[in-house]
Amino acid sequence: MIMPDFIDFDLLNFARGPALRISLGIFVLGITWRLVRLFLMPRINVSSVSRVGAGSVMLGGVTEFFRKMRTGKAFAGRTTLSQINGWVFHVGLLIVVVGLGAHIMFIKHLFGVSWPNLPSNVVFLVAVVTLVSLLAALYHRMTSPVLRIISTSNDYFTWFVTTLPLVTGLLATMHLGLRYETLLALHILSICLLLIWFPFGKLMHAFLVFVTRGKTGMEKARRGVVS
Amino acid sequence: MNQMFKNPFDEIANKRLAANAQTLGEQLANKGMSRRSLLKFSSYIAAIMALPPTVAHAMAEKLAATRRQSVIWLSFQECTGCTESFTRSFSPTLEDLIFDFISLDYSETLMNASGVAAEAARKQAMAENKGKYILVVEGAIPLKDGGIYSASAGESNLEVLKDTAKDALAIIAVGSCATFGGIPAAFPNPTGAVGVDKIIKDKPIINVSGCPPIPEVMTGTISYILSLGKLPELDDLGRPLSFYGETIHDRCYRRPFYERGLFAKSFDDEGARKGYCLYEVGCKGPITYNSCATLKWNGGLTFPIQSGHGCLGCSEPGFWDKGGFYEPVSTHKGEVGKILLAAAGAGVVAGTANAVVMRSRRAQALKRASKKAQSVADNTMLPVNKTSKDTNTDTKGDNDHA
Amino acid sequence: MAGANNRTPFLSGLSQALLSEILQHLLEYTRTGQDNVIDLRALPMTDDDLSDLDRRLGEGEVKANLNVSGKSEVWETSYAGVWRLRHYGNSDAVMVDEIVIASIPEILISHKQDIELAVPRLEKDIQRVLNNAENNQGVFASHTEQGDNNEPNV
Repeated sequence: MIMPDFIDFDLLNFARGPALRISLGIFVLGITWRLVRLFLMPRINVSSVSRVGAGSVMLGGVTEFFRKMRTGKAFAGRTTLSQINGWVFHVGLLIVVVGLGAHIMFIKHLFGVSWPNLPSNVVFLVAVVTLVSLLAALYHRMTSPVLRIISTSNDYFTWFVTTLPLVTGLLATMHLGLRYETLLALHILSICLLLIWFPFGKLMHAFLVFVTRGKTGMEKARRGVVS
Repeated sequence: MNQMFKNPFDEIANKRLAANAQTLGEQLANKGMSRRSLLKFSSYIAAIMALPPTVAHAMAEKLAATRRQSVIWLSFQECTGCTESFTRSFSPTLEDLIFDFISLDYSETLMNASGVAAEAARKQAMAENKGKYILVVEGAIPLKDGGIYSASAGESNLEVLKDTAKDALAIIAVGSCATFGGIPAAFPNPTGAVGVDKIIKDKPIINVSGCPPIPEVMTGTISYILSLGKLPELDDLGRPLSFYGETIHDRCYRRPFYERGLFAKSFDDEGARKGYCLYEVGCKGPITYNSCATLKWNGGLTFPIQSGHGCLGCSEPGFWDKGGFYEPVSTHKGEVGKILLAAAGAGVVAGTANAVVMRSRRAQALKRASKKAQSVADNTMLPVNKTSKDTNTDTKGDNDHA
Repeated sequence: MAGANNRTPFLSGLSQALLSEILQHLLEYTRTGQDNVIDLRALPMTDDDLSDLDRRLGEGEVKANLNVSGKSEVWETSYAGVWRLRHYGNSDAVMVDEIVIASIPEILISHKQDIELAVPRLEKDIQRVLNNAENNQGVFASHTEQGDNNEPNV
């Protein structure tokens, strides 16, 4: 049998090796760059006097993060479902990422910390629910009259980059379609894509949400008039 | 040189020629072995190669009618583990039959002759069986510096391989070294070791990988060729599909533990003693294609996972360079710590520089804006009546853009 | 059925499924005379599955011990035409384990070639007996004097 020489290229070795190294490097570089730049920018509107009876500014910043989780009464009926859906896929992704044994091994190998894993079939169930939830979110984004207008390619690509690891992970764990080592390589490569995209797109909200809500909270805590 | 040694070996050669002229059925009958032993052997081969059991009859008939197959076994950059495995084939009564079916005309480990006489025997077997002998290669072949790093009898392995492969019927590369380069080819591969199929491109090559391969896999492959007269179906790495079609993981008896997420965390811990899945201690079962989980080792006694150690992945290319035997398949390979540190450092530097640039641009923009506002104000401001009480309006705050 | 340790047997249901498959093969045999073989080692059977299967099939009228390049066992089950066949290797390791649906498993039948080889051998042995009788050497003269190269390989 005449074997072509390129057969020596091992996709899984590449994914676990150079691909992950470069992606993790870009991830760390991008995140530190953006956060350092952000926090070195001058603060605005801090020279005015706080209102009488204003509480701790720091506390205001922290509680605002939680206060923003509830919608105002005016929007209650219309946004409840998409709010709950958002919770479902956020919590689902968290459970899948920190609950599966293989993922814990990945983090242990990187950072040395580990914790007990969840039963794999439970994680599988959660992953399926999360996938449905993400698809529902996309549907909502594409059909809602408001979201349809304001959504950009950044939003859609970020959705794709988030959903792809979930899909490839499910396929790998089900050993469905291709050989396992190929499915695993594709799963790892999809994580590489997510890591590279992270500092550039909407996924940065994972860090910035604390900054934006914090700033709003700090301002609300001390500005305004005494009623 | 051949003339010097022809006489003492003429008798042996003639005897062998005469023996090889008989069919296997006749030879076994001369030893008092009935056709039942051929049928029993064929049932066994059909079973381990997952052929329909009814094929055993045809195999036995075909084997009885064939002549002893000439086999030349070359040893290159190897540890001889594959020969050891082959001769350790269990149930000597059943497996020994393979040595009746083949005429092992050359094997440095097993043959009685040595030195020049051995080399003469090889050349003679090649000439007598031109185009019909099976070449078995054990060990990798180094290519660097003209192949000087593994040589025997004054010839490099590379030369001997090319010379012997020329008139072979087919080549069986046994062991991960002969198939993929194996241990000699582990990073950084100082001798330029490669497998057979990187060198020989014009003969059918069967790759029987493993470190070593399971004995029954080696004998089964040779028996298949002998009794069915054709090469078995191969996967895309040239390995017989009936032995290398599934991963260890696909047939592992510990799979239910994997599915439920019950893992041994370290060797001999509670989970290990309960027989949990060995994924977390580095088992490469999910990405390794071999028959260890079904045929097992030492005559079906056990295999690494059953004995509590994860699969090394020894039948796959580059198994020495897959990140370590105790690192799970889902982990990253190689050093990342320094890269992450460097990236973080670079990020801080870049972020600071970026912030400095942005702040200076912002300051300049603000200065331009305030100048523009000042000039607008200068051009449109009403003349100030110094006696009016309204002149006390404080305009200081307008220019304060801290 | 509790074993010696009184533990509950770990049955996967394969033994019962196999009974149906055997029935299909038996029906085919009665219709067409076609033999069939089921390779038990190719199936994910537990030890309990195997003993349950053999318990259900039972033993019939025929049992044979073979000595052919190692030990083998063949026995007819309580169902005519359904045979069990086992080839052993070294230290009683089971190398082949089959269910054979046929009038008789092929390995029990003497092969034509072996029978043809038995003819000259018997002729020679008869001749030797006659020669010994003539020479008054007694009926029980040893064969090994003749250097017979057709001795069975035990």
